This record gives sequence, structure tokens and C-alpha cells, in this order.
Amino acid sequence: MAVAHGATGTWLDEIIEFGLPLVVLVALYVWSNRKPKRKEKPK
Amino acid sequence: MPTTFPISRQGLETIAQFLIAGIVIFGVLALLARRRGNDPRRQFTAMGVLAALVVLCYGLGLSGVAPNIPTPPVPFTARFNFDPLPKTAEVIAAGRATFQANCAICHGSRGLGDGPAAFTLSPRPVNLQVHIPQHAEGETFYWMSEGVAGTGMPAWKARLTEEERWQIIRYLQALASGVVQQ
Repeated sequence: MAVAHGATGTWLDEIIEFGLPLVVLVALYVWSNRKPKRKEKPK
Repeated sequence: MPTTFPISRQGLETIAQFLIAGIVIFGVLALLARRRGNDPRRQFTAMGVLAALVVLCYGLGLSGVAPNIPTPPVPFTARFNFDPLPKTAEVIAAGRATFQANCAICHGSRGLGDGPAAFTLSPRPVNLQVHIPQHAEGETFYWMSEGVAGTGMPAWKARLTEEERWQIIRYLQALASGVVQQ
């Protein structure tokens, strides 16, 4: 049985469809460009 | 109340296409990182995460999320027609009788779109328990009265009186909200 969708055909759907992947891409881009933490040398 | 998913099948496909574009972008970034002598492992991990999300989106889309079928056009003014009948048990019972006699053959006795004739129609009749709460009363009344082009939904204005059509809407609202079971 098909699960009904709550899509309304409004700007809210556009925000979900464009915004969700955009957030994922930006988050992964920021993460992939983060410099790895340097381990402190024991004194 | 039937369960709903916040995104339609087409919405999931759109998201998947953006994510595929992201995989390509991260592929280019990984190549650039390697050329600059940096470690491209994180770009590869990002590509893997995106690929998993693409599979998830297509999987959800294929596993049964309903497609977003464009709403049949309705005159702007039709949306502002409100049901003049009260939400009384008598009106709902009258609507139920008319619905079962005329509409249930296609829409099913509970309005789930699973009537005996539903399987002969393409597109299938809609699940009214899902759609009634999502549309203005005036829209439903217009589709019932004028029919829906390109589907098996006929115009009922010649066969049912205006009062009978509004009674059906009251009954379907009661059905969708769980006030009546059938």
C-alpha cells in the first residue's frame, strides 16, 4: 500500500526538496575541509 | 488517520538528483585534493555518505511513497464555497447513503479508493480519507460537480442535487476524521 505524502505544492515543498540536500552538501563540504586536529605531543 | 510522509515520490527523486550532483562535485574536489598533495579521504567518505542517501531516497520512493499527482484545476472562486449544511448525524447519514449508492463502486465503501470498479480505472480513484482533509470543501464540491478530466470521475451535477453533494462532503469529512467508521 502506498504511503500518502504530505506534499502541498507550496513553497514549503520547495524548501524541503532544495534545502535538505543543500544542508547535507554544505555540512559535508565543511566537514571535508576541516583540518584534522593535531595530537599534542606529550611533554 | 492514514500515515503521511512529508515528501512526495517526485520530491525524493529531486533530492536524489541533487545528491548525485553532490557526488560529482566531491569527486572533483577529491581529484583536486590529490593533485595538491592533500589526503582526499574525507571527500571519498562524503561521496559514500551521499551515495547511501541517494539509495535511501530512491528506495523510499520505490517502496511506496505516493507520487504527487497535480491537483486538477479549480476556478479561484470555487475554493471559497463552503458547505452550507451543519455537521449533524442526520446530514452525515444522508451523505453516507448517497455515497454508498453512487460513489462506493469506485471509491470503496470507506472511501479508500478500493471499490470493485477501481481496478478497471486508470488512474485509480483517489483515497478520499487522505485527500478530503487536504482540500477546501469548495474544491471537492467542484470536482464532484464537474468531474475530473482525464480520469473516470464523472460530473455529478446532473445526477445529484446540490444538497446531496454537500451531504456527501459532510460524510467524507466525518469518515476522514474518524467520527464515523463507514
